[in-house]
Amino acid sequence: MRCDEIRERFVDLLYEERGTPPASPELKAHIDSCPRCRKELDELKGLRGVLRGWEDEQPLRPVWIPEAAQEFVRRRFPFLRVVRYAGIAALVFLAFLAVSNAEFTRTSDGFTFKTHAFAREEPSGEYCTKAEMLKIVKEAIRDSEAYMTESTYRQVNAALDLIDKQMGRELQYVRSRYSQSKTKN
Amino acid sequence: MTDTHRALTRFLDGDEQGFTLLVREWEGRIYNLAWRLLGNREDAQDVVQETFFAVFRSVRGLRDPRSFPTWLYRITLNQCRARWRRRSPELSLDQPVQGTEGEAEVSHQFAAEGSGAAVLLETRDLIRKALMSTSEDHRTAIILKEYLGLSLEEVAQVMDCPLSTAKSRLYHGLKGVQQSLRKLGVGV
Repeated sequence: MRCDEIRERFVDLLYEERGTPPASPELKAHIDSCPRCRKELDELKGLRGVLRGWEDEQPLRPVWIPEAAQEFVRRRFPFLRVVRYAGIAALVFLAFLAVSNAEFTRTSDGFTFKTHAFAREEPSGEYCTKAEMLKIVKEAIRDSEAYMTESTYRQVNAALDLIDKQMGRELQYVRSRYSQSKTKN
Repeated sequence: MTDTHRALTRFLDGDEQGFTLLVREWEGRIYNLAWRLLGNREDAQDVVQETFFAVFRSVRGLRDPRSFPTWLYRITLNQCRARWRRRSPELSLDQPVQGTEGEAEVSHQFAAEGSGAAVLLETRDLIRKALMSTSEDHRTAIILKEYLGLSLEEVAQVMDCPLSTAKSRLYHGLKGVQQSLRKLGVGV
């Protein structure tokens, strides 16, 4: 048996592990008879001792565990859940105040609070004729000096016609005024 | 049933405390594996964190809980390789690592004081340099066998190679470390 053939099998002699096949008698016989191989094996055994000089160390920091950490916080600080829900409720309330254009007024009794969230426009008891409404529109255009194209004007007319159709009471009023003026003439 | 198996079973049954036990039991070994493989403590600590993130995400897919240690070491090795690639694209784990300035400074400081700690630090530094001078496969085989105490069969499983290859890597790794230590003036 040649020395270079068996050197890779030194590992079997270095680590004689339980449960693994023992080094062959042939290998052991060679080691006993070859001073060079025996020296090399002894050196490797010594090297194993040197390697143990690099001892284990403690980790720099404990590992951060995401879910377990959350569970820890939930168990340790149960009131945080209440605080979180209270915060959400406060945000919803503030959003409602903003949307409803809420008004706070300071009075002698303290504060009054009023929102426009559920307010409805009261229907007016007065009605205009189509001609009057057109006049108002024209005046508004003139007053604001806004630019209005012909098509927009036609759209306003169409909208007013629609209003006429939908509001029967107003139409009746217009008709009655019209008939009155006709009889006078 | 081992502590690991118990902790793993608890975690797989939905008890998150089981994962904490698992981490506390294994973080030291994983840290030391990464520290010896990378030669840098901060990188090793990051690898430990990333390894346990990966474990947390995928441990539910582990078929045989008894294979957990092998599986965990494999994840660690992959994380070490990934970290090395991220740190410097042109470097690989096969290239030797230089000692950090801070460590050299501390080592010299202890040496000047002539304390026993100086000898320990110097020994560790020399071993680290010698290990880093070997290839990744040889270094990994040595660390798994010598420092983690795995059997040769387990070393082969973690490194995903035949037993004969694992033995060969271990032998050539030890020879490489021996030569490096001799160059550094250590008689072995």
